[in-house]
Amino acid sequence: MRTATWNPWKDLERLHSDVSRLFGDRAWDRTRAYPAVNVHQGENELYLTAEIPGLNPEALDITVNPQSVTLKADRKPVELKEGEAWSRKERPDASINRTVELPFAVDPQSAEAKYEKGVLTIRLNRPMEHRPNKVQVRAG
Amino acid sequence: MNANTCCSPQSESCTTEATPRSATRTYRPAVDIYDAPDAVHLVADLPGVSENDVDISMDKNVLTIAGKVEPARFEGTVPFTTEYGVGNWERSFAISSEIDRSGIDATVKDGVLRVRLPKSTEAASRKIRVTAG
Repeated sequence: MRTATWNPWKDLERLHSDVSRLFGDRAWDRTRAYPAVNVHQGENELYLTAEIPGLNPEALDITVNPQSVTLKADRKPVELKEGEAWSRKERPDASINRTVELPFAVDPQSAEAKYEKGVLTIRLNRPMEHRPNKVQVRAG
Repeated sequence: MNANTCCSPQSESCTTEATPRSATRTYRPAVDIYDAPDAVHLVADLPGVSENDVDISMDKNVLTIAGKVEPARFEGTVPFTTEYGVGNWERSFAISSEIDRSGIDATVKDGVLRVRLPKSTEAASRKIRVTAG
């Protein structure tokens, strides 16, 4: 006789998938901080990127502190005219107010930001005085 | 007319999203859809996609939007925080016969795709009659 082993994880996965389908996958995203941020770390520089499509770059307020970057902006939602009605609304239109801690101190004056194709990229540099000093070893 | 019958996402055909995303994956964009008397409007977030990298196709009653993303390369760096991955975007929608397929047009600006799906004259006038009645 063939017997099947009950795997409770399969049932949980199926439940998660059913609930996701019911509410839309983005329902789970609403608990996350917006916008999502990536930070790439080099020896003396950092690149912070965030996907913020549909933003007026002039409405974006970026504050760089030595140890953190704060992003603030109001994302303009789609406004319906008379006779129009939503049938689906997934895109976030919450205002942005997010502070991201950095892995090392940066020089706020050196920050450069660009906004292209809905993606914000900020380059930050380590202060000159904090950069590792290479010591040459002289032959004795 | 129920707008959902005009342009509804095909969840079964969509790729599910996960975090972090990887460069080789295709992800499902968030969309807003609203119904106007003369057209259905679809607004999709496609960050990283320019006008030249978007592809909109119709196959029978299925509208597919796709956006190609070229991931940024930061030479000499390693990831410190990865809250999202970077990949291509794709999602499909069932379109009702009330949409005039020849009149669909789209624009992309700042990573947002806007597609206007005009209703056929017959469907639009039927809508007006219902409203007036």
